[in-house]
Amino acid sequence: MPDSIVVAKFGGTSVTEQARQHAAARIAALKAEGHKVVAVISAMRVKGQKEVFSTDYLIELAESIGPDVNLRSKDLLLSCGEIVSTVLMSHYMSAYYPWRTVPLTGGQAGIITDFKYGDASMVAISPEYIFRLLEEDTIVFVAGFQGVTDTAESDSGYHGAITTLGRGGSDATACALGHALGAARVDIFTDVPGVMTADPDFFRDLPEEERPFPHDYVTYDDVCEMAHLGARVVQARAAEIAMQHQVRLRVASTTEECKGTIITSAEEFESLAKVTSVAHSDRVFQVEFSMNEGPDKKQIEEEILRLLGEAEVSVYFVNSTPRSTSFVVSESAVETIRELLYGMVIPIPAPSASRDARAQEGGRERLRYYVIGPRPSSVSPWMKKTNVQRQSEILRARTPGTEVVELEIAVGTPCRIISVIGPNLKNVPGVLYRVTETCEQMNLEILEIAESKNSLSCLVDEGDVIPAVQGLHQRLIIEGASAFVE
Amino acid sequence: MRGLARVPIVPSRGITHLRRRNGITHLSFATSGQGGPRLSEAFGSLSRQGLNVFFIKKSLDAIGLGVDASEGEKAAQVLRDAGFDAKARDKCAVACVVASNMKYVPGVIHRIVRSLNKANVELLSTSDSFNSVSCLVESTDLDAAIRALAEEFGIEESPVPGPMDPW
Repeated sequence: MPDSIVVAKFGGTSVTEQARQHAAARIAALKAEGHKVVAVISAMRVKGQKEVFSTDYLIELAESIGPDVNLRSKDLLLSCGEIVSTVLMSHYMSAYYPWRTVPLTGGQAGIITDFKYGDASMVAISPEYIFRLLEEDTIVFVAGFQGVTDTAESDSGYHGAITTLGRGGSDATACALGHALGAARVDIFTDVPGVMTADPDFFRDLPEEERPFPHDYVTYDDVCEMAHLGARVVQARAAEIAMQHQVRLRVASTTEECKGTIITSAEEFESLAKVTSVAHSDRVFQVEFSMNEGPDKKQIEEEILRLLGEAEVSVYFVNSTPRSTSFVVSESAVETIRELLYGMVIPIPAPSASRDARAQEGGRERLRYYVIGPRPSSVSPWMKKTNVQRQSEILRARTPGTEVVELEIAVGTPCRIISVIGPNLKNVPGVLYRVTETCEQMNLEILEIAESKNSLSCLVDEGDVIPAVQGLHQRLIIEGASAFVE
Repeated sequence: MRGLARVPIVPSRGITHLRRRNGITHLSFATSGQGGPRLSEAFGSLSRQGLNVFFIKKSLDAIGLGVDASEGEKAAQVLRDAGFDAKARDKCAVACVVASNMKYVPGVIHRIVRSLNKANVELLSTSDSFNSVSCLVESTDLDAAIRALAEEFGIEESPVPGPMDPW
């Protein structure tokens, strides 16, 4: 489709000094096909290294001065990583190829966001300037992961503040621009040859025929599910924007010649794979507390969940029984939980005392105090008493007759969530059986199970994640459809 | 080239609607017995009988799952034949809060628990994924649960299935 617009997004590993030539070659190929090209650029990133101007480096730089960086200032700083990459990529292209190039910040590209610094949402795009540049046959380079606010802040009167979109936000930039420009396609160039059936890093030692492979096509639903469940191929919000606005996506390698994976709506497919991928999450931890059955349990559970919600800690795999509650949190939330809950005293109204007893106490409601602390097994052995025990003793000494209950919260060992994903997986018979059987055959314990329409997730010990992903990938994807014949 | 107006980007949808499912039998059985039947044997037996299970909840030593009430008795028998001491609880229902990305909406579980406690609805169990939280309640509590959740989140029940629904 000559003269159609293609938005090409390049990830951090695709725009380093070593990889820049490959990214430029991809853009040149799109130009040679007759497309008008808008390239969205991430901050440079080398796997396992801290590149100067990478997001990680800039965060570290600011936090080395002091931990509480003003959010607005932080966004301004973080946006620089993408701006540097974008200018260098644009300059490279104009130095080695015959086309005119223009680098733009997110704001210059017309990307308007809300005011949520650090995790802003795009609200609109004014594509006028980009359209004008494309009409002049210019290749437009846009810094990903950022935008600007456009209305006056109620308290300060400032406007036009630079905001960032949260991790992986360059994918979202590309998808939103694809929608605003009416692009024929958005190409996400990355370090894998498409949407893979599993993380190739987990299969390096296995023979070629047992390794993950790229799909030719997958649905928006599948990619959204994969993104939410840990696969890093496309950012979750980007997949959602593409689905909401029906933007056709393609994921392909920057360095390898490959046709990549087309992501589109299910209606375009004649038949769908039963299981599309096996994804795995980052490190998570299971948190658990137990107490006597009764009305206090409900109140304590509600209070703990309230505190975590207010601290913006997301919990999942919640399992509540009459005597215990467990849930899973991300690694970054563990310290928050310790800081927030350990040492917390939660008063709960005690069962109503008799009228005489209440009268003796001056009509005051009697309270039972729950003092929260870590489970002793996680306390250093040379400590004679845990803080929670000391705290309880102080409470008892200060308020004689008060009922004080020590409530221990256990933060477990590191775990991972492994998910089997497929379109309408819930209606594929035998998936649950095959997942549990595979884990049993490999002596891998499934700690929890959760499900959605398109996925089945299992919580496993972190040490089991690689064999579990390999085993499930072999059974459900490599052995393929034959695995589902009853 | 297209027009030059400002193009809106649809916001992330957050919590969108409620769904209900009535007529559920909840089955539970222990899984920890040494030398006893394995979990896969339970699911394999159910699958071979064409029984669809949902609301699967595994803890350290027990598992709970839901089946359609019309298949409850058969499912319980299949599990018993496979060597599991399955207990059935009839007349259950599920009230489900659906979101496009629950992971980034902290506090949802607390709001669910709080609103159901306030409405005196006994929450028998919960099951969550990245886009929904399902609450198992007694059938007689289902209307009250839906009302409480609708009020808490300011959303309505959807009569038709959507792509994010858990079933």
